[in-house]
Formats: sequence, C-alpha cells, structure tokens
Amino acid sequence: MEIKGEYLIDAPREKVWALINDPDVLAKCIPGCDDLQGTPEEGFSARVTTKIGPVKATFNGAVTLSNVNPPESYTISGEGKGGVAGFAKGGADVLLVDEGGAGQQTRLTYNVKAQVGGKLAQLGSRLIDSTAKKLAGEFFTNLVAQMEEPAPQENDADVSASQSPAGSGAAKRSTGRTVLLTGVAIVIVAALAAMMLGH
Amino acid sequence: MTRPTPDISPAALNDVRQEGNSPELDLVRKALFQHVGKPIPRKEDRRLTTGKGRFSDDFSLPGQTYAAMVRSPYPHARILGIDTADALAMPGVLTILTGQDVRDDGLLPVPHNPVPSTNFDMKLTAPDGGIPFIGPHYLLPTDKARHVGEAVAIVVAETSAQAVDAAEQVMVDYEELPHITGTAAAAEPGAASVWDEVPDNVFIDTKFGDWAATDAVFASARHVVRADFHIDRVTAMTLEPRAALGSFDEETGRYTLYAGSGGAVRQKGELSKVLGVEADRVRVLSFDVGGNFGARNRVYVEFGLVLWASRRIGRPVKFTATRSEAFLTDYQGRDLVTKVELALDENGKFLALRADNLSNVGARCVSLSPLSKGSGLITGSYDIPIAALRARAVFTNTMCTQAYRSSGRPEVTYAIERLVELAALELGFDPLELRRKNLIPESAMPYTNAVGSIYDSGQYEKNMDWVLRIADWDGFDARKAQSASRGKLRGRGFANYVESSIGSPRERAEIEIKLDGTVEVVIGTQPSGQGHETSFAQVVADMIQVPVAKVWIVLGDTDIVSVGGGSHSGRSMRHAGTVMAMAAADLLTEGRKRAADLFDTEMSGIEFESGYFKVTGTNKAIDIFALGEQTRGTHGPLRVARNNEMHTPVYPNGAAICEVEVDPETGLVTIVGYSTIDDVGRCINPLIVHGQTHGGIAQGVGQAMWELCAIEPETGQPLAGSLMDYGMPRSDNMPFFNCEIAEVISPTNPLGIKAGGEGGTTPALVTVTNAVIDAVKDFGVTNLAMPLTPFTVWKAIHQSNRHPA
Repeated sequence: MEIKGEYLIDAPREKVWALINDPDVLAKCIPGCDDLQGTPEEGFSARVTTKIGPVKATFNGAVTLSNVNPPESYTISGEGKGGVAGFAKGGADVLLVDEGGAGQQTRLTYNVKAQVGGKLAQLGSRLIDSTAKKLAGEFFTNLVAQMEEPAPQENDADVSASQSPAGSGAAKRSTGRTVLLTGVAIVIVAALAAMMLGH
Repeated sequence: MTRPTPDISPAALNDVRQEGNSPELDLVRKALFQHVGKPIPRKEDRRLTTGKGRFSDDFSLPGQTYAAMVRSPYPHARILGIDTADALAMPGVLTILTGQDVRDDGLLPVPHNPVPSTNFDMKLTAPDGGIPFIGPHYLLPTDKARHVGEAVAIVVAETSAQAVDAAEQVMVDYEELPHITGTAAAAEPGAASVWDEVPDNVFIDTKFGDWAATDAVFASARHVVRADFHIDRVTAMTLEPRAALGSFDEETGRYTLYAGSGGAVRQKGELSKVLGVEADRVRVLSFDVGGNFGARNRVYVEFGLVLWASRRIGRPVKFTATRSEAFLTDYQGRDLVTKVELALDENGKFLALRADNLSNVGARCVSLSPLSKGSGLITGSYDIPIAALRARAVFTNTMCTQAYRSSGRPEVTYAIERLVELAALELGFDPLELRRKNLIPESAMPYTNAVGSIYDSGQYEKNMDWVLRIADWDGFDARKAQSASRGKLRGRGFANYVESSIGSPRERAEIEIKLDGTVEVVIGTQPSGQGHETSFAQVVADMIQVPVAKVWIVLGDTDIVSVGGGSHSGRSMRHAGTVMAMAAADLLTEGRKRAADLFDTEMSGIEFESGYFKVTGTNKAIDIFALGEQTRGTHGPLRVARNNEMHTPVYPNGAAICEVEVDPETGLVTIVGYSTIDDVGRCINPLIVHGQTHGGIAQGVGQAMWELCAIEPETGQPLAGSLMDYGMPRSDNMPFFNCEIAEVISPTNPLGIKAGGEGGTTPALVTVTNAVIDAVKDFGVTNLAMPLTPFTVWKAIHQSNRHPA
C-alpha cells in the first residue's frame, strides 16, 4: 500500500531535521513507543504498542536511514514484527522543504510504501489508513510540543509532552489529504520519527 | 407436487438386484411409500434451540489442557529455525511441538486420498498420465510454510490464554520466498513453485472426450461462442468454528477425539494412519455439528495434533479455532478458472463444447472432487453430442480447497448457462428458446452425455415450464415498469441445472428393537443440520410400522458406528435410506421367523401388518416390541445389521429464476424474487427438503452477491479475516423463496431417491448473475464477475459508454 501526506510545521527546517533525528525526541513523540534506541547512522530499533482495529500488539521494529541529505531528506526503511499480529515492512521517503515566510515554516512530505501481513492484513487493512492518520496526528502534536521545550531533556524528564496544548496550532494540516500510514508504517514511523510511518 | 408411481425395474437396481424381489423389501418399500412425504417437524430442533446440543467445544475432560497454534504470517517461507525457549518458560506452558517433533515421532501425512475413485468418477491423472503428487500433509511442516495461516508449531498450556500468549513468544526464523496465489497465474511459466516436486505447479492435467472430433466440429461450425470465467474462492463460514478435544489413555493405548466433522469413520481411519496405529486404537465422537458444507469432511491437522500432544503430555488437549483462524485455515471452496467454447449451427442447435478447467487446490491437494464432479457435467442439461475437456489442477500458496456445497457443479453450471446467454445475445436467439431447443428430452433418459456421465432420469423441459409459471415470467414487464417508476432497474435471470451425487459408496445400518419399547438405528452418516434424526426415524418408523417417536438414530461414535461414509455429495438419504430399507427388510424377515417359532407355525404363514406379526387367517398376533421381548431369551436381541455398497450416481436437476432490482445510483442489488423447481427424486420429508433448498439457495446467492476470500496478489495476504470483510447472506437480504419439489423417481436405488441438499446452490450463482446482467444490459453490460457488490455493479454501469435506451 502507499500512503502520502504532508505537514506544514511552524519551525525552521534545521530544527525540524534535528528533532526527527533525535532518538529521545522520537521516543517521546511516537505514540505507544516505550523504547527506542540507536542513531541516525546505525539505524533505530523501537518497541511500539499500538492497536489497529481489533489487533493490539507490541511491534519490535528496526529501521535504517539511507539517502541522508541533511537537512532536506532521507529514506527510512525497515520492518516491524508484531508476533501473531503480523508484520509490516516497507519504507518512506521524507522530504523537508523550507517554506520560508514569517514563521519560518517547513513543509514535511512523506511517501510511504509498505506491506502488511498476518492479522494486520486480514483484520486491519481497512483500518490502517485511519489509524495511521490518528497516529501521525499524535506524532506531529507531540513533535510541536517538543519544539516548544527549550531543549531536549534527559531521560528523567516526564514524558508528558503529549499533554501540552495541542500545539497551539503550530502544526497545521496542509490542505488535501492528510493521512497516513499503516500499521507497519506505524512501526517504521515510530522508529523514524519522522512521521510517517510506514506501513 | 407430482408423485409418479414407483416404477423401479429390478434390472436397474444394480446394487440391490437380489433384494429387489424379496417379499420383505417389497413390504418395507410399500409401507414407506404410503407414508413418506410428510412434513414432520424436526425432532432435534428443540434440543438444538434450547442449548442442549453437544457440539465439539461442549466436551471437556478432567485435567484438560489447551492448545494454540503458531501460524505463518507469510504465504511462502522457509523455516530456518524455531526458538521455543522463551515461550516454554512462560507460565503454564506444558509443551511446544514443531514439525521436527512430528518427524522424530514418526507421524505420517494425512492420507487425503484426493482423487475420486468410484467407477463413475472422472479419472484425473498427473500430466504424464500417472498418479499425481499431492503434497504430503504433515501435521506440521519441517521445511516451509506454504500459505498464510499454516500452523508451524503447537503450544499446549494449562489455560487457553496462556497457550495464546506463549504462541506469541515462539520465535520462528523465516526466510521469505517468492509466492504465487492466483489460479491462472500459478499455471503460467515462471510462476513461483509451491513444491519442488512440481516446479510448474500443475500436478493434474487430463483430457476427456473426443478432442479430434470436437476440434473438427468447431472448425466447421457456423457459430462459435467463447467465454472465460473465474468462479472465485469462498469459505464455508460454519456457525460453529472447528474444535477438537484429544485424549490418550495410557492404560488402553487408545486415542479418543471429540471433533465435529462430516463423518467420524473417515476421521478415525485417516487419523489412525497419521498416528501409525491400528484403526481400533482411535475412537472419534462427532455429535452435533454446527455447519459443514464440505469444509469438515476432511481431516484437519489440529485433530491429529491434539491427539498426539495428549499422548506426549499425558493429559487431554483441547483446541478451539477462533473465527480468524477459521477464515485462514478452514478448508475453502471453489476457485476454478474455466474457458469454454460452444459451437452452434445456424438454427442454434448445439454441436459441440470445448472447455479448459483449472482448479486451484491451494498448498496441498486435499480433494479433487470439485474438478472431477464438474468435469462430468460440462454439457449441463443440454444435448451436446460432442465435447472435449482439459482438466488441470494447480498448487498455490493459499489454504487448501475442498468440496464445498455442490462441489464442482455450480462452476460448470455457471459456465454453460452464461455461455448459453452469450450465444443467444451474440446470435440473436431468445435465451429460453435456445435452451428448449437443446434440452435433453425425457425420452432420451437414461442419457449418456458427451463425456460419459449417465443421467438417470429427469423431465428437464417440464422443470423449465413449471418454474416459469411459478415465477410469473410472463408478468415481468409489469413488474419492471413498476420498479422503473421507483427509479430501479429490474432484471430476471434463468438457469437450468443438472448435478451428480455420488459419494462414498459404503454404508451400514443396524436396527435393534430395544426392551424399553424403542427402536435404535445406528447409521454412519453425519448430520450438520440436515435433520437425520427426524427423516431417518421417519423412514424406519414407516418401514417397520411403528410411531416415529419410538425411533432413535444413533450416530457419530466410531465405537458404535463401524462403517459409514458420512454426509457429503447428497449421499445421506440415498445411501442411508437404502441400507435402512434393507435392514428393515431383514428385521421383518427375522421377525417373521421368530413369530413362526412363537406361534409354532411356518414362516410362510406369518404376515406383517400395522406393526403386528400375524398368523394368516387367525387372530394370533404380536407386535414387534413384544416379539423382541418374548423371544430375547431364546433368540437373543431382535437386531439386524446390514452393509450396502452403491456406486451408481444420481442426477438431481431443476431450474431456477431470480429477479433483482438494481439501484443505478449506487449499484446496490436487491434480490426481490427467487423461484426453483428441484427434482430430488423421492422426497422423504418435504419440510426438510425445502429447508435444505432454502439454505442451498442462500449459500449460492452468497457467493454470487457478497462472499469472497480476497487475497492480495502482490503480498499473498488474505484480506478477508473477519465478518467485517466477508459478506454473508442474511435473513434481511434474502427474499422469500418460491420452491416446488419435482419427484421423478430415480431408477438407481430401491427408494428412488436422488438428493436434495445441493440443488439450491448449484444454479444460484449463475441465476443471480444472469438477473443482474439483465437489469443493467441497457448500459451495454454483458458480463459481470462475482461477487456482485454495489461497487462492481456501479463500475459496470459507469464504465459503459452507453446510456440506457
């Protein structure tokens, strides 16, 4: 399946790039992520618990980054395995475009290609689009909240970013379809933080 | 309802020739024919509707444990290793077994015996003419998983939840392999191989009929009409998911399995071979079964696994499938690609038929019944003098297919009846007149078709006239105008059908007059909603002239039922009815003998009437229960057992009409009328036959309208995993049915029975399809693939360049 989308973020491109490459930020922003390790160079591994329709599972995902072109673009690829819930694998191209303007906006575009298997495919395929949309929305909300913090905090910080006011409109949905991912995407996204996920 | 006089020539009773003239068999037949045909309400319904059924999962044994399967999420993957350490350490886990353990313990593959083998089945062979490779079906594989959902390990734990949790922690190291799921695609060069032994996946390739003569007719025929169809894949969707409780008794060395199926005797025989023990070491109990439709006729790996696991851990093991598992791993149905061609002369007379049928059996070959059954009926209800057929079967990375209600016949009925419609359209004939012109006349019965099937009897044109009348075919225009006034498009579809019922040839009946004043009948068929407890009791009660309430049918326990072919292929009433008639005749013979002894006279001086044995010309008489009691000391229990074997098929037939309304804005199809005439041979209980017909229609309409086991070709993933993704017929989307039973007595068996379980399904797929196409024909639509969902119909309407006239 293929999922495309874009978000307009009220922040300069360099800042967005830094955030989506920071494991701590990613861990805080990915909904249901309770563990994320790794570096942009080595790739990330993450554990994410999510529910897609009737399928609730903890996915162990690993993703790598390639075609890294700071602060503009990279490609995420990887696989998430959720035991009996199935698997998701695939990749996403993430592009940051400097929109300039008074608010120094950045347009983040993602294009996910993914496959899901097992229960995710049998029970979740109809729900993946909407789930991905919801997870992506949460991810961006979290990301914006992170930007409002002066600096990434150490691990002792209470991961409460998601409770901050939903971004005071900082992240706006671009016109057109928003959307996103799929179950797998979720895993990948998580891992990547970028936002998208993969499906 | 017509009731032709029984006219069974003794010569036609090929299996029962000698018994044909016994005075007792004449007596039971006469008694039966006087009484059958009564719509007696089903004895079993009160029990079943008040929660007193005994379904597989209702059984529990002391110390019972629970099994969960580890299933492949990949359509095709090599199993590099299975790490069970973490899972074994989890709470309550008792054992985890893999394919390697299956091999180490010397378990054998399930001996499916898929090639139908009676004298009347079409003989399917490997491409080289030899015995086909069918893909060994071990309880668990060691090398590869060959379809999504294939069990690769079994986890047994103290509770069901613990087993499921642990199954999630079993780490299987898979290497994904290229896969193939499409029927036609699997037979193409370069397709991924499911089995190394059959690199091109085509393991059956057989030609039937006279190819040279057929080709010659086609070459010179005035008209040739061609079409390709895919009758897609569906699943049986039984109300009761499959379940099994296995127990091994260390002391006796016996295995006991509680598992609903289509026939316990087959399960016992095949499972004993899997386990490598004598058949008497296995006992199978199958009582109430919540739906079969073919899916439960064959052995499931889980049945063998719970028995084996029970022996390994020394405790009973239970497995109950979830609905998701049922979607993935119940034996599925249909999936046939057919290319058909019909040659006609200038007057519309059918000259020859040529067909190329390709059956998708899934990852292993469990049954070739659909391909074989269909092969024998490719010419349908029509007199087509010459025909040729190529029948092939392919392996794919999908769940195995099996005979599914009316195995093979809806597919070929769809092909011929669509082809006839297309021929009429292309060549300018009236579709009904084209059919009439080519129907097999009653005078030609018994009729041998172009591939050698012998249709036993039938009045095909009469069926046609009859159904046209009850459906008020001639009043259609007014109804169409009425629909149009509401903005709806009305269409009507017609189809003739003929099908064959063969089935496992052996059946056994035991009848005993019990001391408590009841009659016990032991029989080897297995109802799953067909009402045998009523209709069989009715048959025996009538034959030995006792009240129906006194007759009890015993089935489903292989310690009591030693022989029996189960219930499939419309065989139960025919096989069981015949052997029960023979047993009843034996019982009356034995009764006369005993009465003669009791009254100290000759056997020839004893007659049987109204349930009494009487000394002719006197008032000395004794009823059958008293006789049993009074002679028990001297003669033993009044009890008979009779085996019978019948190979000759019967050919139920009929005609169906469907009317639909289509909403052109949304493509939604509503079925507004459905009428059938079904020739079931002698009808024992019309209430039950009508119920069977109604269910059969719903099952066929379901495939036409909603049901589809969708598989994504790129990923090989099944996409229908719940009732959210798989549409089913329901009471609110079915019309009332208008059905009549035609009784043209079959000459092939003493009771004249054909079959009534599948005739509703056989023509339904094409009848509905013809109706929907008729409704949208003004848009230029001449073909529509099933299922006829709103999207399918809407697309067809909107992709056409035409606007309705």
